[in-house]
Amino acid sequence: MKKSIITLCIFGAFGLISCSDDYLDVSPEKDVSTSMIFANTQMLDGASNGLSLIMSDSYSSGGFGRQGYNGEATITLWYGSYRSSDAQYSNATSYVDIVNSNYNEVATSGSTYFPWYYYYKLISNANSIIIHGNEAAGTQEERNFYIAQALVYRAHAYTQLVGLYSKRWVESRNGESRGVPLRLDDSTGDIACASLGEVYDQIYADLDQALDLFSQTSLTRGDKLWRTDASIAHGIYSRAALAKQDWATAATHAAEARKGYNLMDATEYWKGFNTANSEWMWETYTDATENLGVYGFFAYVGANTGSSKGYKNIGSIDKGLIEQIPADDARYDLFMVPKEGESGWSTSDSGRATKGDFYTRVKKEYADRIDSKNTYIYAYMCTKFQKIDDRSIGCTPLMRAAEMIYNEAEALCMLGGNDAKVRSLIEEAVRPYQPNYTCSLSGDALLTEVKLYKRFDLWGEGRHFFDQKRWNVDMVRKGWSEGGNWHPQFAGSGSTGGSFDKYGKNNWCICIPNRETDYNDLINYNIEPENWTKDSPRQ
Amino acid sequence: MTSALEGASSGISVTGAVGQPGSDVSINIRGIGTVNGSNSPLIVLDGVPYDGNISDIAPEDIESISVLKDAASCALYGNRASNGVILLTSKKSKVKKPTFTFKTSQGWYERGQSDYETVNPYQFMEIEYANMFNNQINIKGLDRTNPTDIATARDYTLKNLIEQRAVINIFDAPESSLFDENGKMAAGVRINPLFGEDLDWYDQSIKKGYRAEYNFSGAGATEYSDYYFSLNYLNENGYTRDAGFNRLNGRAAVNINPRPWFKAGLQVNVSHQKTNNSAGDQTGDDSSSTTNPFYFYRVIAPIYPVHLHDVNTGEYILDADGNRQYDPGYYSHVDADGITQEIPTRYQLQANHSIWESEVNHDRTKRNTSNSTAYVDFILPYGFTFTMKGNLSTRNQEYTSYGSAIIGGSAKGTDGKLAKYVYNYKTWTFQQQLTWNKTYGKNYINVLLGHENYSYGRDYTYGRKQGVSVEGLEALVNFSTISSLTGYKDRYRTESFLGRVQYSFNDRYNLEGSFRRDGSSRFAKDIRWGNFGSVGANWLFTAEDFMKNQTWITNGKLRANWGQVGNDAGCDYYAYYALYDADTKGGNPAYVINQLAATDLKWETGESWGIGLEGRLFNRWNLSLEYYDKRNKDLIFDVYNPLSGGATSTSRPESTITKNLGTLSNRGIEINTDVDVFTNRDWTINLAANLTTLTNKIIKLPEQNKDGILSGSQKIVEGKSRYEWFTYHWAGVDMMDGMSLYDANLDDYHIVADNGDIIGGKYENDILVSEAMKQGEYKCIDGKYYVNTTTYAKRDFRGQALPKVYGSVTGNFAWKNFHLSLMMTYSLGGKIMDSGYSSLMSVSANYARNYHVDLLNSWNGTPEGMTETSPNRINSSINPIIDQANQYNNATSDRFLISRNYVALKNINFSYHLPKTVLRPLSLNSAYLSFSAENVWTNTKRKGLPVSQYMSGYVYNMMPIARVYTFALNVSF
Repeated sequence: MKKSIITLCIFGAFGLISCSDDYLDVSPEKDVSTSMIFANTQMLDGASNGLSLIMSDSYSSGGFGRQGYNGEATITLWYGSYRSSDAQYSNATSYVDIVNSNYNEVATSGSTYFPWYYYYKLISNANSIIIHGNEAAGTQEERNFYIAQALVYRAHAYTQLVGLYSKRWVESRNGESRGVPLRLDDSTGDIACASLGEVYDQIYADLDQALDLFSQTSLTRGDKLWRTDASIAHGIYSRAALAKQDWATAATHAAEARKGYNLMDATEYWKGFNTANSEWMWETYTDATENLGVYGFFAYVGANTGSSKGYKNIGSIDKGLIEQIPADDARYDLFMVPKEGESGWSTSDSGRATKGDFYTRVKKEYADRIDSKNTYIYAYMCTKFQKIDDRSIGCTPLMRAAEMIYNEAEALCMLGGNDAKVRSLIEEAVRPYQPNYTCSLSGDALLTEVKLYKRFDLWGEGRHFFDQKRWNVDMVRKGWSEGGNWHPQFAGSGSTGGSFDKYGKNNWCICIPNRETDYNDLINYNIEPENWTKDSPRQ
Repeated sequence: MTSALEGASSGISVTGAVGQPGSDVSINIRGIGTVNGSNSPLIVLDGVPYDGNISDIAPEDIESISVLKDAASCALYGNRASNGVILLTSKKSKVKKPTFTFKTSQGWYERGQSDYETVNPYQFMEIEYANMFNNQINIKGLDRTNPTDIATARDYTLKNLIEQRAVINIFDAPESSLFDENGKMAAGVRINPLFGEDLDWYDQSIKKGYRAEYNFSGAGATEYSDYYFSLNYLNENGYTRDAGFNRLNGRAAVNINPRPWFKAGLQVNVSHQKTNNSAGDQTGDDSSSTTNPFYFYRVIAPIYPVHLHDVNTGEYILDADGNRQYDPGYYSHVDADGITQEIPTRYQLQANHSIWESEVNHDRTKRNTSNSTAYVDFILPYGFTFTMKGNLSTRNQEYTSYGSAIIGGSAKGTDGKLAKYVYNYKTWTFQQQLTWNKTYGKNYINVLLGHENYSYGRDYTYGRKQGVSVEGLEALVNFSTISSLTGYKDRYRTESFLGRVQYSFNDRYNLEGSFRRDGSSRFAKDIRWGNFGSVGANWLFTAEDFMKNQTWITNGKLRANWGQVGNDAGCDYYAYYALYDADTKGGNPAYVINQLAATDLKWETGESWGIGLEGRLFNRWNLSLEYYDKRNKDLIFDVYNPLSGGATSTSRPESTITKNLGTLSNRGIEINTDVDVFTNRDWTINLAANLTTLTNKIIKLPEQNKDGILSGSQKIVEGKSRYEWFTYHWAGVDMMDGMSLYDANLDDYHIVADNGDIIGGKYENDILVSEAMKQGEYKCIDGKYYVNTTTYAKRDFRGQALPKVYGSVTGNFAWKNFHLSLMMTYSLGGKIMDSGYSSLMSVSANYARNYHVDLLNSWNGTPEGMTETSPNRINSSINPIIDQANQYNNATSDRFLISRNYVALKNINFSYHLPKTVLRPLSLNSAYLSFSAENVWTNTKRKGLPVSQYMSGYVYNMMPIARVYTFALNVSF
């Protein structure tokens, strides 16, 4: 009997042993679940700030075949600047596929993926906020503010995407040519490409809605210039409208955008483009604790960086461009322009100097703007960008008031009949650096002047490629023997050369990457078929 | 200890062995089971799943190791056992009398496999000459048969070779007279001895490592208890300057049996470990890091000295104290104008110096581990036993990496750095089991019911500061700026219910069935439970009446089994959640999507069956044969979305969702055999061998991935193995111009023939989508189309990476008290992409580097009489023209795939047991001396090919395996 009782007790105990119901419920302690993100506006604020993080983060070399992708500043430097004929990537011949746009037709290249990857990552995160933002507990003003911010990021992403992957507006058959897939919800499946016109319509609609929502909130971004507000919405509006050749819209929004911002003076201009000032409208943010190290913008173009990624190839200005700028412009000496009679740089590459009078002079004169031990010296090298600390600490400007002046001036030129106003605008933009500057040009010459100062003022700030593409200018890079300063590999013509006309290299369009077409049954091509329309059989 | 597994039984393959002391290897049992998760077997120590590293345990504390391979035996161990189970049983006292054993072993380490055959300085210069000469011919459009053109290219080369490429001239002749007219080194040119004595980087840094181990253990028993304790100390210094490992390990185990119905026990194992890591020790991560000596020494051009020399005279440049200084690739020289000029001594790996960096940088891991198990058994009436067992395992690991500001990557920009990674692991397991045993006559029944829960936790902290103030002081306080500070926790839990019934009749017929229900915290609540089970049977047919009179076979057994085991290791700990990464921007919280919800994700199932036959023949020959078929279904897989769906990662351009899709199978035969060749009073000779065949195949893939998943030079596709090479086909060298020829890709490109015909192209009626190859981009030779650039070349399947057959052969020889054993391992089939070799076969446009001797056999002009239609126009036994400008001549292709066959003499052990007549006067129970050698000899298809780094067939610049010689003395009293 006793035996049986013991046995029964043990059996009884055994029956009770299983764990409680919630034993297997573990929740993440590192990541945050979606339900928490949209629980309240405080979290929503973080999700909106997440969009700024996407714009300035380190994207590992493994997936893209190259180190140094960091988000928006990568687009600025590699896609917006070095793919033009204004900015040369020194002797960085291993970047020839980017510099010469050779990957435009290579659907498998990491360089082809990156902008697609990066902008759709921005878009999917923005979509989530736009769709679910109104679920967050908090005030309507707060919800409006963060949703409006997300709309601006989305509009920016689509503007840049069509600038890189789609044809120019002039060739679009009035917007009928191929745009990009227009994802506006949180879907992840198959989707066809929208037409270029539809993409611009959406960009306008997003910006209109954002401006409307900004007007219904009293919240501001404060000094967080890495986030968006109404002025950024206007600024992107002006960029998109210029690309769409919608001149009146471009002029209005450009003027609206720069309200409340003041141009830098010459001293400020020399401070290294690493900290926001009265002129900056939008930036990517880094500091010592959010340090991007060798991934950062300044690790590549900051003239004083010690990063081995950068100091060999800081970048230089096109000789033909700087020669059109008067030497007494306060910005002129940011570039190492050789003086009359100086010599000693190589003419078989991008102009590297290792000895000689030019070398000796600039090593002394620019001692505090370069890394004296490491930096490679080139004729026409740029020292405009300066890291604050480490290899790349510093913020990168994404939009400045000066650009808005040029945008307004260009749009007014194109509208015609506004030469006086344009002259006053260009004078406003140049006088801080050339106090005696006056402009008496008109017509095409005036337009050229506007473009010249935009190219010079915004050197390396990511507008060159987009402007050159929509201006329909050929890619002309002159080598030393033709009076230019381009490396033979970047200057040459031919299938892998860097000089080509406005129809070359797939019409300056990057093809749609395989990572899209391989998994999307509604897009079966990489290179846009001729006369593509929305309803063609294999759209 | 893992080396004991290699070759010990069929079906086991060991990879990842590197020369770093204290590093663990990876073990695979019967192939590659899964795509996403780990393929390592579950380790079970004394009945409890073991989470630590194998190297946490002293091998001396282990009584026996056995390996479970088939489903029926693995099924009971549930989740994590789908890749097989390694059972470790620790030592216990066997006798009452207290017995003590002391063992020491002393030995040395050396490099176990030599490197690729690379060029000497003279050959190097000739390759550099050929490169510049050919490059000049090509870029200037010269004719290599025209004497004037030859002179132009030659003059340029003689003038520029040193300045542009070699940087320094280490020879005793001026650059203009280094070469004869054929581009060979001129007769009589010798290396300046001041440089010559300083060129061997290996010699100046590779040393003999030392290994010492001491073990003291004791065991005994009383009427109601038994105990075991041990203390073990191991100190290993590897064969590089900085690799080292030491470990202090203690173990105590006690079992009590105070009443007939009650048993209990406790065992504790603790260790303290310190590792000095040498770069290149493990993963492929730092494979091309300049601090990795095995990368650095392999690629550095053979003309670059270790120390600084005056570039003109070769004299050593001494520091203020008169000592030699390491050469970072440049030195400063103040010229007459007072301007400091930098004199380069090499462009390659400038500002890096592997030896110097290994002296000033330090990577150290400190680890404390404890693993404790306690149990109680209640022996109940009616044949019931109730057992409770608990295990707690903790591991604190601190990894410190100090980067000096003097030289190398940390010197640039960061001015030195110190990084600390702190990991705290805690896992515990709690088991309750009820067993019932009953014997009715010849029938035996055993029933087991059990419940088990498991909890895993990991806390991770990472901090990094930079800006060192006092060089060499490895404390965070010594650095100025915090550059990173982060950390998080991971939690994971499982719970299981299990049951097993074993039935046996007269030991002749044995049946077994088991059932298991597992729940995992990785899956959503309503689908987190999975049901699994197994059945097995064996028949001892030699016990049957009709076999009674047979004497030629004994112990004959026929076995069959089938079973299923769950596996959740292929997905993250919080796989079913939609997640945002929590980070900061501008000091404010910032959240970014990093995982899409996978609410219908469930258990991956490993299902296998096998049938086996075994027996002992003629009382001297053991033979067992087994067929196995193992397949994982509902593979946990990351399925790709279009990239416009929004990428979920910051490291890969992919948008993925985790799903259960696809099936992967491993099939093969295993043979184990051993023969007592000769036995008498003094002699024993036994030979053993085993062999495993493996066919690994993807049976099913997700619909979205039907076209295959490209990963590097491999493609995962239905009907092929997990690691299937998919790359360009190198047809050979076009003897007309010395360029590499690859098969043209006429699927994605087309050619417009002279008569207007379109050849190739993806869509017949729509050539818009396939680009036309232009004239000059392709060549038509003997009716086949070739291209020189891989952009237009066709990729195709070029064989698999996994071996098809592998195993070992062992010989045991004993004469009186002497014992000798030898073990060879072998592997046949499979190919390796020899990237180490390919990197030594191409010339960089940026700087001079080291080359393989095979490069001396390169195209050097069109052979006389060769025409466009010559039958031998394509030559695959020569290398293409040496010319830095052509990046495609040496592109990754099947040219660099090479057989991974090998045969190795894995170890030799020779021992002598002292005879009783000697022991007795000394009151010793036993004593023996032994000498052993590991990794004695390896034969591979190419000298230097590291065949067993990874199952996947990729190779990295890692520290080659070590050859270890050990003398041991073991005394028991």
